[in-house]
Amino acid sequence: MKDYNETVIDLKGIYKRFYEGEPNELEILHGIDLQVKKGEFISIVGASGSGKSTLMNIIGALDRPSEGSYYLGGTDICEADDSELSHIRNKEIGFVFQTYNLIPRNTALKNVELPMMYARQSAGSRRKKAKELLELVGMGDRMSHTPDRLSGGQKQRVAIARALANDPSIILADEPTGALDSKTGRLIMDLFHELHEKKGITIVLITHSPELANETERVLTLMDGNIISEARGSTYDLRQHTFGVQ
Amino acid sequence: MILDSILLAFSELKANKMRSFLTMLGIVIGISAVIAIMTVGDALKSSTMDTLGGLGATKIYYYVIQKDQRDPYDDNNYQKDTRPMRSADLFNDEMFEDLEEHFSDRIKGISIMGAQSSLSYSTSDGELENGAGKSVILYGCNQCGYEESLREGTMEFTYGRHITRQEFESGAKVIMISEDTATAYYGSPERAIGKLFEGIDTLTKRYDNYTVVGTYKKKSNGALMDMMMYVPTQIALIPLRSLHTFQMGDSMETEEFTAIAKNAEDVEEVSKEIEDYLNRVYYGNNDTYKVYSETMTSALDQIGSLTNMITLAISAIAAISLLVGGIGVMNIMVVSITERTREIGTRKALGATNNDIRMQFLIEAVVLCLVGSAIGIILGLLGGMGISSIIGFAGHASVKAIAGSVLFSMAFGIFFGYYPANKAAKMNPIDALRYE
Ligand SMILES: Nc1ncnc2c1ncn2[C@@H]1O[C@H](COP(=O)(O)OP(=O)(O)O)[C@@H](O)[C@H]1O
Ligand SMILES: [Mg+2]
Repeated sequence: MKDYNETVIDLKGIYKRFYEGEPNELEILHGIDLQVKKGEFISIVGASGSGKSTLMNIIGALDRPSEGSYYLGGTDICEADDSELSHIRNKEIGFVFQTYNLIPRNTALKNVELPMMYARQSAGSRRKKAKELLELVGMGDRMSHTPDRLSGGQKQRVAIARALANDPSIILADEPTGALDSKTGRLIMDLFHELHEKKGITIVLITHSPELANETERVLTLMDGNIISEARGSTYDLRQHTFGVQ
Repeated sequence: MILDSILLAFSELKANKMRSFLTMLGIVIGISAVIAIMTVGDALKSSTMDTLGGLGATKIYYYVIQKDQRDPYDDNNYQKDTRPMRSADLFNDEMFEDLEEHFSDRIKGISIMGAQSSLSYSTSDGELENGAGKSVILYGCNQCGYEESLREGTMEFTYGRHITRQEFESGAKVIMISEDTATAYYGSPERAIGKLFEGIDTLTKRYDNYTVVGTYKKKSNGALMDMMMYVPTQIALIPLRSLHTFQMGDSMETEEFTAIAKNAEDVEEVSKEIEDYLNRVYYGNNDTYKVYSETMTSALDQIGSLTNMITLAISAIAAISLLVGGIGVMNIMVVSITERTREIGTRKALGATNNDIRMQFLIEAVVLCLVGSAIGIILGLLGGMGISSIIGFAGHASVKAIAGSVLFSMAFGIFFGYYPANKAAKMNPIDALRYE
């Protein structure tokens, strides 16, 4: 059992309301408390519409909570302005979407370079890094392919390489296997495990699959905007044994 | 970063070739119109300067006009009911001799060449008819006028010989006709030489004849110049004195003449000096008429201001087409941004700032406008040079016009791209990512 002490994500009393102040006001999150330690691999499960993506967007600094406090690696997200949030998303967070969201007409290499471009890295160094990352996710032989020439699993690998581009402190993956068949999904999940185990990357995974969720250290269940249960992944320790990682 | 945005802009443009092209059309048309006008305008200007200037840089034209008129074309101050010109109001031999002597160091000579009468003649296969058949316009000229027209003017000597100095002085009954007239009358120019050219003088209604000494043909100075300096082939040149001795004794009178200045540089000055001299010495006591002088430079100024006006008018049309083009660019940018909403959301999720997004779409709009203007410049140059060569002169678009078009279209892209780019920049990342 690993011992974590540094808190990366610190959410306290998070509320999210849409159409605030209007007659059709909608409260989606009702006071979420959540701490994630550096190097943890957690998963969030729950029915469709329970507010998983809404929570994820707040964690990812894409959206601001209506109420509550959120510190990401010591930075107060609620106080940050738009360009500071852009900077945080660029440096600290790597997103992996269900729909891949690769930029069409850009090669895999260009897609992976993108976050580094927004970080104003030189063309040479970002190319080198992008190649390394594509090798890492097993896409070294398809670097010059555009998304329309890649399969779903391949696209998701490129997206994961892109998420890793600026060495973020956390990876946020919102149903990354949701659009893939179970076999391909399995391979993507293995890639997450590998990144977690070998590189010590913090990962927050949203999934519909109880099987995949149970492979993570902590499983949070969200229901109608509340965390109703928190448990240790039932097969996580088994996996640690089987694969013999520390 | 900027280079990346430029490359990206080109790949977007390539991905939507047809749409991009249609969008650029307004700009292409606008810019190509401007460049074409500039090229043609330049061709017109430089060619009229070259040709007219070369031919007429030293020519000073003198006219007798009414005292109230500013120039011969001033119809507003023209008095219809004033007394007609009399012999005493006209330029005469005495004045010409005086001018040639008084201004001998400033002018080469006085050139006189003008329509004095016409002669109707019968063709080789017809009877002599009174005025009804073919006719030539008799241009009585002095030696200076004759030489000016044949040496560097609109006529080119072809067969026979020139009219001699003696013939000009004695008023010999000799004539130089066009090849067309010669062919109509004698069958060919060669056969005309030495023959008698006879007919009825339309002024005196009397029979008259001249000996053909030579023929000329029209000299082309390009289609436009030929149009502006139209020489009808009915013109026939005769010594001025031959006409006058026949018609009204020894006096030689005319409403207009041309002085040839020695130097092209001070032609304006000489022009005014002679005008003042004539008005002081000969027209000081004249109650109705005065002398007016004009040089090619002043005529060129008028042509220049005319071309400027045409340029202005067509530029206004081009501006409207550019405006329509600009609105097209704005429209297509709005469409493109809507289509790429998810992409914008993704870019923001990956760390693009509002400024990054704004810059990307601004660059895209500028690239669109620049490519449009590049196509427009090429088409405009081709079109302009095509039209210029039809007119008969080479035109060059100024580097200034091309650089101006490029700068203008960049400014244009920024102006019309700003609204959509800003709209993209301000998109909420969540809404953009959730966009279906
Ligand atoms: N931007 C938004 N505006 C309005 N309603 C939203 C917005 N985002 C999410 N919702 C609503 O919030 C609820 C939770 O959505 P979401 O967090 O996407 O659920 P999940 O990811 O768990 O399926 C849904 O009912 C959805 O309609
Ligand atoms: Mg969701």
